[in-house]
Amino acid sequence: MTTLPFAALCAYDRRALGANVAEIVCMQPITNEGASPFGVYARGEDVVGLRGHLDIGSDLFADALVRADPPVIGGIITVDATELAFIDHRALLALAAHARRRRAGVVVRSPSPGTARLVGLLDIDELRVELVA
Amino acid sequence: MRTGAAADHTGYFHETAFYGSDDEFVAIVGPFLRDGVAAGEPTIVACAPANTALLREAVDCTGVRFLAGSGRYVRPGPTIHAYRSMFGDLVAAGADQIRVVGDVPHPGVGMDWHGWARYEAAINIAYDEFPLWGLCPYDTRTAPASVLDDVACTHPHVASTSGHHHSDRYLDPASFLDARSAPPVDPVELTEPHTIVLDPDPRSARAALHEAGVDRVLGVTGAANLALATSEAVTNALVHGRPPTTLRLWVSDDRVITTVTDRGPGPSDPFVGLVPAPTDQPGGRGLWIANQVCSDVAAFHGDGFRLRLTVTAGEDAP
Repeated sequence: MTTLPFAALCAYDRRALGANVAEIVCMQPITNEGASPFGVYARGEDVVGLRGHLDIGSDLFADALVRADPPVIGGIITVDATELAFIDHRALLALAAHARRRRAGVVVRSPSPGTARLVGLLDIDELRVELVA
Repeated sequence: MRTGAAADHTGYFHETAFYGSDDEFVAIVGPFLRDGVAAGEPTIVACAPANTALLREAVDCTGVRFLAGSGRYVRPGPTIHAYRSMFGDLVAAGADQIRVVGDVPHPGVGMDWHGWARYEAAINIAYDEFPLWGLCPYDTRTAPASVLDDVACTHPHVASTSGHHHSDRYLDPASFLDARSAPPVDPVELTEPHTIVLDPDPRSARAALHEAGVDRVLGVTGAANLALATSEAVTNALVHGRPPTTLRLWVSDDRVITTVTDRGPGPSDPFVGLVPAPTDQPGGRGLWIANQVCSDVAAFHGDGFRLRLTVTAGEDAP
């Protein structure tokens, strides 16, 4: 649906879902302010997008990856991180672990030299950063 | 098969040499290099420019690989990382033994010693998985007595013009590190902080740095490095420390300092931050990353735990 001229607004009742709402909200490309520190969502047919801040407050990230199940194209999961403000080493390791389970590599398209540097330091075979403008 | 004094040794043969003249330096290091090349071992010089010039002039250095010594020993964390990477590659290429002679900096050549003392102790562990013979010569004309004392305690072997000896002053690296006094206080820390954040989380810590405009002092890369390291420090305080956690931030003309304080005892592992965590271990990387991207990382134990992170302008991580 991400390539079709289609927009949807999904509303969730915090009173009914309680803390579980975070598990749903983090799968949305756009949310109201403060609803989730990060998001994992489809960006086109072949790419998974990340937004927000992936740090200590993102312990749902690994589960979100499993639920999103990003497509593996030619042995590679492609991640668009242009909307990602920050990613720490724990989240990068979670991304690598997910790729390992899918027997895939990951290309992270990011404008952040810091992310490229961190991936280089961690020396994770599965991960590669493509710097984009 | 390993050769020379390290022939029957397994792992890191960590040796120092105390010399008091240029001739003595050449007399100790020259045979070390020539024998390494003759044995077909990767033989590497990472000395300061003056000693490099001495060796090039007095020794047949055919087959010796020269690294930029002053660039190699900029900061302990990246130095360990770079050497481990190089040693891994050399072993993978079939090296039975690697020889490295390097000038470790100290106050006699204008560098703070605290971090390098920790380095000299920690590499006994950090390099021990490699068939390495490392020779760390110290010039008794320039190195302070306190440095020479630490060197004697961190090197299990000593070379001289009369041969190779065990050091009877060598201390177990963990014991040496445990007994170290606290790092020196930065004078900037004695001034009023630019910002204090009580009970920060990593995101609010990064926001505090951004709002303080640290990129105006450090540039984009330096600011990103400090944000990453501070974020890791706050995460560690929240995960491993005890509340309350406090972030303090100082911005000076040439550097930016953050401290993260909590009420816990701090890490008990004396090698934390210098020796990388095993790749199959989920934690233990935050302080190591901080050591890679900051100009200085200092840990203070006592009434709680305080980690001080410094990034100096124009000193981008390698």
